[in-house]
Amino acid sequence: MNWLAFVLALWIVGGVDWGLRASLELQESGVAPSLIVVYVTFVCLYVEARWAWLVGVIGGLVIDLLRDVGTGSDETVVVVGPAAIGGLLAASFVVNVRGLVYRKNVATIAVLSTVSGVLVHLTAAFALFLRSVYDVVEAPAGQLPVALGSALYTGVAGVVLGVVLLAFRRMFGFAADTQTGFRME
Amino acid sequence: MARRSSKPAVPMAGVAVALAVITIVPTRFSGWLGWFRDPVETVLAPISGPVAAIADRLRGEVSRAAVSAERDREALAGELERLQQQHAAALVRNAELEALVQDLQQGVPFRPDALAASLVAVRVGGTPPATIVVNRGARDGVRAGGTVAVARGSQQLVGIVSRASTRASTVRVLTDASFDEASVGAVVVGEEGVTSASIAGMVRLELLPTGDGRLAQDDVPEGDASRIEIGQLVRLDDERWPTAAQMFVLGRVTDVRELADEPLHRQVLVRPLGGDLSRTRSVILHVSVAGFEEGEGDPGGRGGDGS
Repeated sequence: MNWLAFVLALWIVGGVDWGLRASLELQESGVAPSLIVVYVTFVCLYVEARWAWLVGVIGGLVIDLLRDVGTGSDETVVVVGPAAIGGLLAASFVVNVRGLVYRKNVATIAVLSTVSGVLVHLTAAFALFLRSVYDVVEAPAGQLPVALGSALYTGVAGVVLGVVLLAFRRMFGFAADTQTGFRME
Repeated sequence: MARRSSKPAVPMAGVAVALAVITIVPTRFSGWLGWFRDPVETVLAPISGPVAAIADRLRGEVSRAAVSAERDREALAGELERLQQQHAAALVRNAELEALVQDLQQGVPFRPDALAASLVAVRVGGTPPATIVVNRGARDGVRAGGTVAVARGSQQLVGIVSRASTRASTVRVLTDASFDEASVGAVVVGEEGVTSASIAGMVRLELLPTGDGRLAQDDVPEGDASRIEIGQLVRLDDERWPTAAQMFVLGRVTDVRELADEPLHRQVLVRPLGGDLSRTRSVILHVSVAGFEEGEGDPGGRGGDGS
């Protein structure tokens, strides 16, 4: 994989994700798509298995670093780790199922993004809940529906972003693009 | 014979364990990791800023197309609000200057005036209902404690900047129950608005967040409460807040309640204009620039209206 292209695309997708998050939020519910999860899912579909976990961790770390976590006072903190672990799980999941799916289909990216979103958001919600038991970190009420809603919304966003990412797939120089293999056609 | 796996199990397991550890370690030990946020925000800001501004503008355009007449009315009302706020702030400022003249005549040291610059900023995140994160930071002259956020299109005060990184800042929302300020000083403005004659006789309130998006004072004397009417505007008048924030709107009086155990007092409830402040999509940041003369930077070159 061309890592320069990966970082450049992560920069663009991360910036768009951060910039559009408030605008794409559903009815002020906290439910918003994560374009970074879609991007991680897409890359993990094609990247060599030995690097997929790193892609998931990097994507999760960006999500962690852009998220404010309340503390019950006038301070907010950055909790590094929850989404990164979720990203690691999501990457492992995608690598394990990618041999069974048709990678070049947008629907594949959408469905796998939804599952990846569930893994990332639920892991983060659980970790923050756990942390809130003994730390200053505050786990907001109703995290579970928001996490599941965000995962579904991420799948919907995966349809749009998936089209764009598939169109620019060659730029990433994935080894999978140069190999022939099983196709469900 | 099975093919050798290309998965790097050892490094992945090591990273997984490290992530698990920093996830569960309490904030007092892992708080330093938050330092990495600023560089990430700085790197992403050139993309996120324009994207957020375009999205905000598009939303505005769609709304305008759908309800143009309503938007025009709101725009006029907003302009009226802005002029009223400026007028009220000018009257308060005039009173302060008169007091300052008296202080100077008595030998009290002079305190330099705080000026203000205005920046349009778009919400890019946050933790409702406590904070919103906007796409302007220290690079634009924003500084923690000296910058207040006002809802765009109205004069509704949203909150005060509590953290300013290079390209983004966190606004502590006024109605958040965990707001660490003791209370917010305010005046209730009647139908006649703020005039030279009325400014001294306005009812003063010390408002606290109630936790449900409103502000309230529970011990308003009955005499003062009797002069308050439902729907009256409440404006900030508190020396603890930056000068740039004075006379911005805190909300409207929604209720004046009798208290069962305190017959001589009333509870006054104030609801901000536009509902939940933590969902405000774009704000105007009013930056007090007095401190910058002491070497903190020069927002003058970048501190203009960023729209």
